[in-house]
Amino acid sequence: MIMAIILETKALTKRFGGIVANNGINLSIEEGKTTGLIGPNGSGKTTFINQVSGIFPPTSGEIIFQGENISNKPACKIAAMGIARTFQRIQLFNHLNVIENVLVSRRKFMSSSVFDVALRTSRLKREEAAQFDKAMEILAIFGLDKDAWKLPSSLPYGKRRALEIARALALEPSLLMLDEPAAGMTKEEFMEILKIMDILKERKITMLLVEHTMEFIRKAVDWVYVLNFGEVIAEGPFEQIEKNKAVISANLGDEE
Amino acid sequence: MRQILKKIIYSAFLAIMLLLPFFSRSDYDLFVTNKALLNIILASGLVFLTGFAGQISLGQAGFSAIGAYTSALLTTRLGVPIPIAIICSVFLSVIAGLFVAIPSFRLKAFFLSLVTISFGQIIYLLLVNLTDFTGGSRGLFNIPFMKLGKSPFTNTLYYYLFLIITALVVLLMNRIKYSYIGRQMFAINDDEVAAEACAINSKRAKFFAFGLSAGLAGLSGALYAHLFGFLTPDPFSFFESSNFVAMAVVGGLRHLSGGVVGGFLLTWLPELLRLNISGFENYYLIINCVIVLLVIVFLPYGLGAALFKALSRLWGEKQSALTLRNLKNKSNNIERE
Repeated sequence: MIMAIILETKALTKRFGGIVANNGINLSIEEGKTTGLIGPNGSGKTTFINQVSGIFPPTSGEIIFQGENISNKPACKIAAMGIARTFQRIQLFNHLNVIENVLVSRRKFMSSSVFDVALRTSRLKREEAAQFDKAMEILAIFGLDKDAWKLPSSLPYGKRRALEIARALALEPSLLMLDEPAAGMTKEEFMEILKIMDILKERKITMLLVEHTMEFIRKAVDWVYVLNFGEVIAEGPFEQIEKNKAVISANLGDEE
Repeated sequence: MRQILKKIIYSAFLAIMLLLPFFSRSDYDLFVTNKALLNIILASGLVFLTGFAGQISLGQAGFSAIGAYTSALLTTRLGVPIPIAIICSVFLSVIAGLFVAIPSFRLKAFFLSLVTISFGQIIYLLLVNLTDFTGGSRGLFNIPFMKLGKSPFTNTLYYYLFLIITALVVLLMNRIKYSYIGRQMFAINDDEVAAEACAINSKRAKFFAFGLSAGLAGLSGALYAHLFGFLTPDPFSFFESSNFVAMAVVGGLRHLSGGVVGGFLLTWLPELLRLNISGFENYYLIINCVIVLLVIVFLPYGLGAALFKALSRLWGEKQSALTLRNLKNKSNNIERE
């Protein structure tokens, strides 16, 4: 069986002044699998995601996505190519309501131009209506369709997290990167996010999961990379990683 | 019943707009109203740039100056017909807007406002110092008025022309707001990084926002040149730029009616205070500023937004989403906020 590698980084390095946040990271993500990225605070997990999603250009090294080097592409191009992400601290569009938040991601599926807008052509109306239905469909997957007209700030934390994932999924990505989706959640919210993970897995979405909560990682991932001080110190299936001495001494914490 | 009320109020508003020249007490009143319409065009562009896209500009008078002087020079020096001169001046203002957009890729809030202030000041100083070209502080004279047949436009004719242009501008802004473009702008305003992660090209969106608002400022300036017949650098100073921002804020930065309400009010208010209430001649600007301050403190979302909220309550409609309008009537029955 041939495993397709969807994303690969080669010696990916990011320096902020004197601080080396990522140091020569070689990581590959298989299509259809959930890859975990763990490590203590400040080990460079979010920096890694920020580089892949184009928020920071890498200092050196390469990011290959579906065979193409995307190292110096702007964030919007990378998102349009099919890498979606969520943020550690939920970043929704707070003045837009729930359905509009999802619709923002649907722009790349529309071909209308500013002239269509100015003349309010039938093409624009047709596309807006079609994307509206599609956005509703996506909200329904997460049970958010009833909240479609609310503002994000009126939703409970768990639903806001679900909305952020829905918005990322609306890009129909080939790779979905989740940055600590279970951070700061109550027990009930945690169960909800596990359900969402099941939904995503059912849909065969390739995921990169950055997480602290070991319980969550154990349930969700197929393969784990461990970062410490910006370097990969171990990789493998979770059961194996769990027993790895280097990993334990890197003080992963959070073991409940 | 309420729908009938809505129709009556809207028709009454339309009738007043159409018949205004017949009510106005003097030619000067009509002239001030014309100036108000030009300010509405400019302030609407600023509402789009600052309220929707979240980019501050304290240099709109600079774009307006480029429009005004381009049209004036083209018509006086080269004898270009007025409509073509106006199109050229809008084009040039848009180009200037695109250049000013570039610093906005990296700068936000205070820093961006400093850049736009500098832009406005540079243009102003050029107007004053390029005396061969702009006439310096003495100004440019004999700018042709628009003509109908052989006779120049009266204030009434200017009023109808400006009314049509303003209506088209408001219609355009309305369509832009209730579309994916409006959604993109609000998204960038709320969170640029998240918008980029949703495949929104924020640079292109900022080019669009600056280009559009600069184009509208240029249009407003060009029309101003042909309404007045002469130009001096004074109406393009920093004070005017900040006055435009005040219009947008008082009207309502995030509301489409913001430019209309703010532009109209802040053009007429000083005139009313200055000319119609005796004893205020020396203090009208102070009173004007106090009123602006009161609106900002008590109606932070602006007069326009407050007015439309009250109106929609009157006809029992709930406000729906920011950028979706009655899409298949789905949004009508669900309350926002």
